[in-house]
Amino acid sequence: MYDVIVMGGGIIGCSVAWQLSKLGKKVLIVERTDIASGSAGATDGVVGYHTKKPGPQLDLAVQSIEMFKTLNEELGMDVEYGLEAGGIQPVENKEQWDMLSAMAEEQRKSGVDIRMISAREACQIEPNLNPDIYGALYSPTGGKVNPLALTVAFSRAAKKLGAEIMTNTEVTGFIIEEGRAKGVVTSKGEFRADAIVNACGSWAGKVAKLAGLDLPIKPRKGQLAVTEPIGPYLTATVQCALYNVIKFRPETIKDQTVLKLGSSLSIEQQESGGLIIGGTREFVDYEGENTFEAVETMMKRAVRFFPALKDVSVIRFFSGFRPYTPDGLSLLGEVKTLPGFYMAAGHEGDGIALAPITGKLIAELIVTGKTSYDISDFSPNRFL
Amino acid sequence: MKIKETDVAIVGAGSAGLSAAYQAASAGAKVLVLDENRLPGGQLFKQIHKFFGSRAHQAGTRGYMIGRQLLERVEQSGAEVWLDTLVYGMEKNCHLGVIRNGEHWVVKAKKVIVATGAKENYLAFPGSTLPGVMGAGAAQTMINVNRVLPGQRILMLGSGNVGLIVSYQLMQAGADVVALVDAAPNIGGYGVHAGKIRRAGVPFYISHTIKQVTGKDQVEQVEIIQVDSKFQPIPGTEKTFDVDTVCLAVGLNPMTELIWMTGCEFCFIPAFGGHVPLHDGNMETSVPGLYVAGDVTGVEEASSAMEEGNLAGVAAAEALGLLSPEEAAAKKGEIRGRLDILRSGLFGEKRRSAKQSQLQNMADYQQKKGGSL
Repeated sequence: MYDVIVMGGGIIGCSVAWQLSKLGKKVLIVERTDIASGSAGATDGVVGYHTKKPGPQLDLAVQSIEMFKTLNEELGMDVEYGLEAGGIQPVENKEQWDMLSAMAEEQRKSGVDIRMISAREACQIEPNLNPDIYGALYSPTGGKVNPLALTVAFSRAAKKLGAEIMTNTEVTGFIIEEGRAKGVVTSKGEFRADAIVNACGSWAGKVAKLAGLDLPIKPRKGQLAVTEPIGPYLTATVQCALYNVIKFRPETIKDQTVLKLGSSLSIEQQESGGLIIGGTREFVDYEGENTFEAVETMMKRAVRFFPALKDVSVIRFFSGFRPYTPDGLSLLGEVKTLPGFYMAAGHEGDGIALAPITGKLIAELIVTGKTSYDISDFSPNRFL
Repeated sequence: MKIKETDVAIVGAGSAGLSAAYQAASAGAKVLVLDENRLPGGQLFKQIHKFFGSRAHQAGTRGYMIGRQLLERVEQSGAEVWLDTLVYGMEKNCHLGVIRNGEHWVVKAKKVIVATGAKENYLAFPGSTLPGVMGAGAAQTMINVNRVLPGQRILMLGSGNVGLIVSYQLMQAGADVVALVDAAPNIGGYGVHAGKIRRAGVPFYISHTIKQVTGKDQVEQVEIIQVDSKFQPIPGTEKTFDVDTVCLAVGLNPMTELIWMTGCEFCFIPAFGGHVPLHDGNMETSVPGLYVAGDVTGVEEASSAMEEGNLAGVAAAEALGLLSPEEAAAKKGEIRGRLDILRSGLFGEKRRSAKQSQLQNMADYQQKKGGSL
């Protein structure tokens, strides 16, 4: 018998499990494949403010990024967090400039330092950036992390505090008694608990359906490339302006290929020297293959902004799924129609940055019935 | 992105790929051969020694001559050859992602034959990353293709045929081979190759391995050590040689990266160098329309690679309806007969049983899938 069963051994599930364990709860993580085998193991590690939707999502990110500062120490493992890496969004034309300026003004309401800078200033910060740009959005704070290491660190810290982890275990149904979620049915038997957390990321909609819940979380594919390790090339994380336009104003995009692939540039250099280059945002169900069309689009975009990359070898292409929701906000909280069933999923591309705060708030909610920060905007009940 | 459509696309213009191209194009197929090197021929043009075997396999002819003849036949057959062309990926539907002259192509073929060959194994020891430590195959490319001597004083690790032949060719090219070292208690390759090196006075250290390589900016010294019957080093048996080059001839492994991308089924056969794709008697893999030939199906030697290429080319042409079942059966019968000869005798036996287990794995897989044999 467990206090809480967390479904999903990804970055969100492991964060929730760690926080619950810190509060003295007996936790079981049930994972279909392995720790960090989903989105956290197939993405870059951008932890920035400027790519977050203005409003509640950005406010939440501010809370979460604050927590990153002490994670190494608390988790007892180096998660390669670069605090002051900064973020730059090169802008290609006046239309994008106006759109990002307006967005930045909204974002500043959350108290973050985000501003528009000239092309020259942008190239002073990142000398390898192509000077042939209209300008840039700049966010000096915020950074990057190794999402794989962070997920493993969460799971190890949880385990140290008594959490149990069952990998290669698929949830096939739920134990529901008197209208309450009381446990899970899995490929390795039944397990009971007082609370069940759905942290299944891109698969959260499917898993919720097993409990009769219709929640609009859809998988959205992101394709990426990783290069051979090179010397210091890039400090900031760089997302071209299209990244935010696709994320927040897709209706303004006319190029059908860009729209279909959701292709924009997102690039960062890892500690090991390799560059992670993304990416796409595609609705193709769970078809995870890399495509030649996306490869070409991503590489052209990378060389457009960083011309020297044309001589750098890509060693691998890969892809991951992001949990998309229609309004761009995650689903956090208890499901009113099924007490004892909690949602912690649907972060799309913000899951890495929002993982620490998600774990903390969901754990508080389960243990005390309330949260130290209002998450009513994220309630799953808005879709029920 | 440019699109190129063809009947048969062949990845690799080596022994197997060129043979496959010749067979398929001769039968009337539109054939495109892709190779990342600037010259075709794969390993053939590095082989300045005479081949063994039967007359059917041009015994007594030097490898590069065989390559020249094969290339002429391919040119006459009408197959198109794209060199300096990188195949960087393959989709599940066997479309190929290709970079050529800085342009991105997608090659869509009705049948794809992967003949990418094998790559050299690496061995790690202290100093193994120093400049001057290299694969024996790399050294062979340097002397026989680029005509550059990799060093003056060379130690060779590995006494299989590659280690023996490359040692002799290094000596012919003017280098001193100071020692041949092998951890096994016997010389691995053919006696006829070993004899030539022995007669030249090169010492063999069997049951020895490299302990370390030292040097400031490049290889200056190599220290070897004797090993016991369990391959454990015996302290106190170290010997040191002044060398500037250490060559590693410690086996090859199939270059299967492209094939893995398609979701093809594999099995693990140590005698073939590791994981190898399952294929049937027609060289077709578990992915319909995807064929394999040569060392990528399991490391053997050039003659077997050419015959597997012949087989894949004929089978692909037959599947395209360009050869009648009778014509194809006659051709395949001859090729399989020659392959059996190549895989017989003292040295061929191990490869014959390995190939049998690979074919059996494929049959088991097809049965499991409910397909026909």
